[in-house]
Amino acid sequence: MESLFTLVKQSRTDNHSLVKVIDLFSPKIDHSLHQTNQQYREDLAQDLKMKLLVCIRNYDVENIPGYFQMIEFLDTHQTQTY
Amino acid sequence: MKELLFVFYNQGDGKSLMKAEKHLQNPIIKSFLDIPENRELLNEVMNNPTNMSKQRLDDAFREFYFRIRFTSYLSKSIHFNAINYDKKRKLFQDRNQLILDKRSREDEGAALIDLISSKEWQEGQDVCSDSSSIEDHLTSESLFQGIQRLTKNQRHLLSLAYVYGLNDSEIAMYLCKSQQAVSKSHKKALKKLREIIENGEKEGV
Repeated sequence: MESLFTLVKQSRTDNHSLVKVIDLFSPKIDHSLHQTNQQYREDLAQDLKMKLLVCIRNYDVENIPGYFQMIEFLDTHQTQTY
Repeated sequence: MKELLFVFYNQGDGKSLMKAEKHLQNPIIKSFLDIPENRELLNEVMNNPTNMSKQRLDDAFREFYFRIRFTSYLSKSIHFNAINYDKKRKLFQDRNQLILDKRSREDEGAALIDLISSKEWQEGQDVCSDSSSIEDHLTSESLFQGIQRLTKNQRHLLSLAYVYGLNDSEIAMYLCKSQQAVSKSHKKALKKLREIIENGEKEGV
């Protein structure tokens, strides 16, 4: 199993990776379905997957800071970052 | 772990202990260094600070940090989109309510669907407005009975005149008769009709 990082990177061009990422988040989706009535759950699940698709495709993977960038960031900014 | 960082920063300046502590307060850095393999990588950078080892530490951190950031981002997206979906659905339901068969008051009062005007037949409305025969267009009973007693030709003439709205000369052309003949039988038909109705009313009284 590839790491999430590589999967997300690949999902820009590879639909299989995209499906794998969405599947990884399916427990969270299932949990959110309790938000709504029984009869709307299927619709909501579909809607959420569509939203996820956009989120994953558009996520800026390259812009994650490395260790030293993070340290530098912590030194220049007083606030905590999560 | 703190010692490790301390030693690591001590190569630079004197404020390193404070710095190390501050960095460890950051939950990301802390949980990153909680994993022994990552501490190993940091150790290696300390002992052997080449670009290669730094790169490896950087990559490990990037992957680690990405996992957290991405997961939290997607979880939040799912959560808020689920809430939004419900809100939207409720709004739609409020605006397009399915309450036709609800009683306006408990038990008594008609259901809403009974109060809606129907497009079907109502009193005073043409039932067979596209019928070509004049009998189908009458609402007065005496007139209807009068028409029944006219000849077939007279009924046809009256239909042409009053259903289709033709004048006498147009009817004449249509029936291949002279205009005078049509005019005459038209008048005769109306006269007979009037007589029938007046007689019928007298009889009724």
